[in-house]
Amino acid sequence: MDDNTEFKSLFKNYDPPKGGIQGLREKLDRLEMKRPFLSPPKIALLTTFAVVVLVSVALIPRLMKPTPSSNLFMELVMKSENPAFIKYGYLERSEEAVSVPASAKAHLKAKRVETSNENVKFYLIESIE
Amino acid sequence: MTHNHQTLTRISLENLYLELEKPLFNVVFRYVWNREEAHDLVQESFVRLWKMRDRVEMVTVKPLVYKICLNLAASSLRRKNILSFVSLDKIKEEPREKGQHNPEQREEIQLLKKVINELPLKLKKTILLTEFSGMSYNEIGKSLGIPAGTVGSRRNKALNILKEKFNIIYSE
Repeated sequence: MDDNTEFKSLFKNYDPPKGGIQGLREKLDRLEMKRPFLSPPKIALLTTFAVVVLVSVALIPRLMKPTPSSNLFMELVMKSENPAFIKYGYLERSEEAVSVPASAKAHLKAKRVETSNENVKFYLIESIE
Repeated sequence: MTHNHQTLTRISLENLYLELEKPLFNVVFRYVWNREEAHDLVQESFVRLWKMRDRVEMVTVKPLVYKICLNLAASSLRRKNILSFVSLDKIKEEPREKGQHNPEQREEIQLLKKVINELPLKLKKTILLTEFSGMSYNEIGKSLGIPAGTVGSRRNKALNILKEKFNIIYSE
C-alpha cells in the first residue's frame, strides 16, 4: 500500500449508524412472527387433498344418479302393466285371475330389459297377437 | 471470534453481525453512497442469511454474507439505474445526509465516490473486499467466485488505477 496518507484516506473506515443490532433483532422478530404456520410443502399437500375432496363431492352424486337407461326403464315400468313388476312393488297386485291359454304360449315374445343392477334381470313378455 | 458452530443459531447470527457490521457497511457504502441504505442492506443480508440457515455451512459463512450483501447492493444499483433511465428527469443526486458527515468528510466522500465509481465493477468489488472485509484472498475468492490468485492480481490492478486517478485529482 502507498505511504501517501491522502491515498490511505481512500480506505478510511466509517462507523455505521447506531442501533444496527437492535434493528436486525426487530427484523428477525418480525420475520419469525410472519412465518406461516404451515410450510409450503404442507400447504401444497393440503391443497391437493382439498381439491380431491371437492372433486369427489361434486362427482359422486352425479355418478350415483340413475343412468339414462335406468330412467327409461322406470318410465317403461310405470307405463307397463306387465305383471312381472308386481313382485318388485312397481305395480299393484291385481286380484283378477289371469289365465294364459296353452295355445298362446307359442306366440309370446320375451325381451330383456337392462337395469342398473346386474343381478336383477327383467323380461318383458307380450303376446304377439 | 470463532464460528465453530455446526448450525447457524440466532445467537451466532447476532455475534456474526456484531463482528461484520462495520466492514460490511464500509464495503456497501462505497457501492450505494448512502449511509442509511448501506445500513439497511447490511441488515437485510443477515435476514437473508437467517432465512437460509439450514443450508449454511459455518466454515464459509463470512464469504457467503459478503456475497449476499454485494448482490443486494448490485441489485439496488440496477434498480436505481433503471429508474433513472425511465425517468425523464436527469439522474438525481443522492440527497446529502445532513448531520451524518461534516463538510470535510462530505468532500472526502465525494472524492472517493468519483474515484471508486470509475473502477470496473470486478476491480471495485475486489478492492473493497480486500481493503475492508479482513478476509483472506481465499475467502474473498469464494465470495466472488474467482481463484485466490485472481483476487491478488485484481487488487494490484485496482490499486494502480486508484493511485493514478488520485494523483491526477490532487495535482489538479
